[in-house]
Amino acid sequence: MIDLFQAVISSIVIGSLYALMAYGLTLTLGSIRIYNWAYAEYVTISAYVTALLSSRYSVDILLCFPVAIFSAVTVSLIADELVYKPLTRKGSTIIQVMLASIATGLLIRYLIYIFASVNNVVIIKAAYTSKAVAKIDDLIITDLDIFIVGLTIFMMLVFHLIISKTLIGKQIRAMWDNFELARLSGIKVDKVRRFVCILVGMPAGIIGSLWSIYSTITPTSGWLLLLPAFAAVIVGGLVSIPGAIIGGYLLGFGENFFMYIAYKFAGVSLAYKPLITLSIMLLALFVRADIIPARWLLSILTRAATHRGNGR
Amino acid sequence: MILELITLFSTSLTFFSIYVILSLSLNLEYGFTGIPNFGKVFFFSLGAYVVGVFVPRVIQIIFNVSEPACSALASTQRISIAAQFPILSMTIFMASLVFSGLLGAFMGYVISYPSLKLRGDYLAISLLIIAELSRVFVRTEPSIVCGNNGIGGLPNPFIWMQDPVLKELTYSILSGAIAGVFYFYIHRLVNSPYGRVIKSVRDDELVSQLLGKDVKIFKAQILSVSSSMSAIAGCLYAFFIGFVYPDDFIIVWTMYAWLMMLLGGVANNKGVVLGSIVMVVVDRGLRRIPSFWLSLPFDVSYLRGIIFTIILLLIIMWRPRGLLPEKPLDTPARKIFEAHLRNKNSLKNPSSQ
Amino acid sequence: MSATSSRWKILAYLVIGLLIGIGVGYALSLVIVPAAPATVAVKEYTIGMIADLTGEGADYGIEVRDAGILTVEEINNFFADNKIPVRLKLEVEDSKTTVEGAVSAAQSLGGKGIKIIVGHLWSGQANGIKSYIDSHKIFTVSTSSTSPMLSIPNDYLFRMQAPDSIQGRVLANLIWKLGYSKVAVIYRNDPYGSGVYKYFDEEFKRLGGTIKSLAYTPDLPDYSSEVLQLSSMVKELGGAKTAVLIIAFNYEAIKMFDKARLDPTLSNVQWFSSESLKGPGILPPAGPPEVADFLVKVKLTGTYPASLTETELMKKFVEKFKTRYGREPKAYGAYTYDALWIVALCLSAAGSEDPDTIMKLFYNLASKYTGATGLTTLDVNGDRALQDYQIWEVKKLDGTYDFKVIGGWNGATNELIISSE
Repeated sequence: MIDLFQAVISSIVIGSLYALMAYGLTLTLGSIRIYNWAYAEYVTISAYVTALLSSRYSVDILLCFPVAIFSAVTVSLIADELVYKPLTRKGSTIIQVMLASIATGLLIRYLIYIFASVNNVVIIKAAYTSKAVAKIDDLIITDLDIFIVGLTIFMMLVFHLIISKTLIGKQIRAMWDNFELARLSGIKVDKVRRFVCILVGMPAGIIGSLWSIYSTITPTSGWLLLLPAFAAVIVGGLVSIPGAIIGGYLLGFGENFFMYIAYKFAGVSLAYKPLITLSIMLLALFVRADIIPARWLLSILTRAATHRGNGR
Repeated sequence: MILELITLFSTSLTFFSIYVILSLSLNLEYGFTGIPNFGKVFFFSLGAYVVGVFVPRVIQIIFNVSEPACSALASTQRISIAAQFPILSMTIFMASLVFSGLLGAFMGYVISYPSLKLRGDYLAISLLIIAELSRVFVRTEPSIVCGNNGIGGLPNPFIWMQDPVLKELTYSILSGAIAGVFYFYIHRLVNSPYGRVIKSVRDDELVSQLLGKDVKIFKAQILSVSSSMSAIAGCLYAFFIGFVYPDDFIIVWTMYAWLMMLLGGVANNKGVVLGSIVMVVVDRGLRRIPSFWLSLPFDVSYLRGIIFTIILLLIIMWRPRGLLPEKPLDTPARKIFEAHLRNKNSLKNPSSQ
Repeated sequence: MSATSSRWKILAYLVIGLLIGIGVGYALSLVIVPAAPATVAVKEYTIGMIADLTGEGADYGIEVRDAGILTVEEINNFFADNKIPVRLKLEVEDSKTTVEGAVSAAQSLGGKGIKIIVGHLWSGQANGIKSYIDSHKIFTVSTSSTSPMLSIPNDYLFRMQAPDSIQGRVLANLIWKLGYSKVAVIYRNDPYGSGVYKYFDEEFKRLGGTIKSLAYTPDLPDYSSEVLQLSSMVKELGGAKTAVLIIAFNYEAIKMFDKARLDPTLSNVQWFSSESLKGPGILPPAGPPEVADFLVKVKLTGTYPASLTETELMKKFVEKFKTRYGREPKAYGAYTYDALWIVALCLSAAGSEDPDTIMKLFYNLASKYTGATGLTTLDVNGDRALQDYQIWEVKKLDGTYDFKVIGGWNGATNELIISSE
């Protein structure tokens, strides 16, 4: 039985990472109306920064975090200024922007590949190893587990405070609800946009750094995390932040706890793991689009949970 | 040297034909009908999987080959059998084409149901997920194409030819002919009242419905046709490479199709052909740069990826409708009308006779 | 109508320009190749090489390419010094760690009229290019691709490394001989992993053992659930005679070790591995010291295809490689070295590059040739017949971690020897 609890622990840890990443993606989607497929590469860049600084240059691991966050934020701003903002200004369709984001992501990834192969760091890991802090029978909880869960939840709370309590947060919410109206009512859309880019760059930096400690990094690491994160976004109905967070944990549990139970009681091979993520995504999309009934249930849930219902 | 040129020509022509068919089908879906198909590789892979599933098993059943279909020994045996029975290999090829087309059409029809309910970006992501799902599923399930090992021993229809260069050349000409047939078909399909209707569906679906057009049926038809084409392209690809494995069918194929369509000209079939030409030239051309030309510390393949993504970005940012613009439809009615106008003008001005 | 016709003109110019561009580029590429020095009818043969120069397998591919360049130079110098009118030229193509990449590389090389290819292909790639090389009669020697699926007589693919059917059996005998009758296996769900596993499974069960296995999907971000399952498999097998066997690539193995080291069950059994983990990437400085400590604790022991006695040629090859490139070669450079040398000797003996002739000569010569990797005798399938395996164990000596050779498997006598340390 204890091994089931172990599965729960890893589900919570991975779920937190997915939830934070989904938060960033949803925020971008809601306020700037962009499907940012390049978000994966912001994470990969941060992961490499942390891994390189800590292992090659022996920088203390906690100092790597700010540097990684700075890198992610910088790339986020540059990508927006060079690609997304001009496209939005031109009035491109959402499909065209999605295509542009996929292309941008691929471009950054190829650059990372070149950098990694030239410097012989195609596979790398940050120089910090987790230690066990709690042992109950066979159940192990490490300091890294606690750090990841703590940091991600802390960040989500901070963002929630920024969005609900500050002036600029209110402006973001205004843009979210109705872009044109927000612009007409005098909100400096460009300034808010830049703020959002900085704001979503931060979780990317944190996730990348955490991931480089938790696992080994290759140039495709960010992309591998993007798919579950997008699944979480979709489960949240694409415009709901609480929904995205729930989605992140749902996916974390789906991949770890649920698959483990499936193995233990039904002998299902773990090789089918990626199918879970993708099927949840598809299911969520189809429910949302009224192809599968029970839509009304979901819409009641999401309507209650969106910012609209949250003390506005 | 001549040999090199001929091989270069036949490889390029085959890939060009496959790319043209793929991008024509995407053009039909998105350029003319406004359906954003981000899962093109899924339909493409269907054709290849038809080949991978049926061709080895059919040959092994007919000739009583006892080795398991996935082993390399079996694939060698299949090739040598096919080389001795030319009629068999050509029949199998044609049958595969037909089955790929049918399966593609069926899948396209099935996909049309969700595509009606899903808004543009939702649809795009759904199709992308379906493509990834199918890849992961086929890769894990060993009974389709031997899991991630893939299956080989898929005999080229012209394998009985003694000279392999001639075999490739013939195959490439056949592929080019099929691409040509499709081009002609699409050209006629689109330059007609039917084409007018699907364009109206693209431009404003609501108005189209108000005018009495059953959008459901048109989308279903278009998706069937284009998915059928994609599957046939996949079938051609499988016979050309001679080996089918699921990890080949990644999102890059979808991106290539979009790149070719956007580059050449959305809703312009000639443009799509132009886009395919550019793609093949850049792709094959970059492979032949010897590494001492440019003393790069890294490999040329990365450069190719970077060039493609930069081209894609530049197109989206500056010429999102592509190099060649969309032309008014060249329907028979229009031809008659324009001829009539010309006659009228010449009658008015006898001096310009 | 002038707007349309000018558009047509632009289109026409574009297409013509492109076609001219191809033509010019191609012509230039032929011209810029440096001409061979004008000596007495020296024949230059171009040998094709396919290797993963980009992608996840780039480490190995680049090593093979570097070894190839080094070897071809050595061969040409040797022939020049001894006035043998044969020279080799290496034409390298990138297979990008994908099967499609290998197939295009093979097609590209074949299109250039190349008749002999020496390549580092993993099993999926070798499988993919087989129909092409067989139908075009291109003699191909692969320094890797150990999948037993590819053991086929009378084809154009030879392999310098023994198929994993042998390694699987050696692993089974090793684990059994060390006293374990129950094994929990975690293996990579791909041709390599399933190849080794299949033969291990057969042999271990033949010896009388019990197995529980788990195939993991490659390239996933996280393996917590796989490690958890492995742990529960070990608990189910239970008892002192249980061991773990891992058949994985190093970047995935490190993720699993990092999770396993905190698991008390997995830290208290002995672990075994195939040859894929011996190399940089697991031990410090690449990997964290905690993982290395774990590996020492569980006495990670594995096989590695290598001659039991280090040949003189191997020593010289390693020295040359280090001097030229400033790093040590890994496994496959030496196989490339041997393959190219045998090919060169065949070419100079045959006087032509007819693939059928070269193939026969290669087969004959290989059984008389002791290269850097030992005696290169091939079996009827054109695969390495006599393959010795080193047995190594991760140990910590004087503060550094290393793979210490503790014994070997004699390929000729099928005997396992463990030194008593």
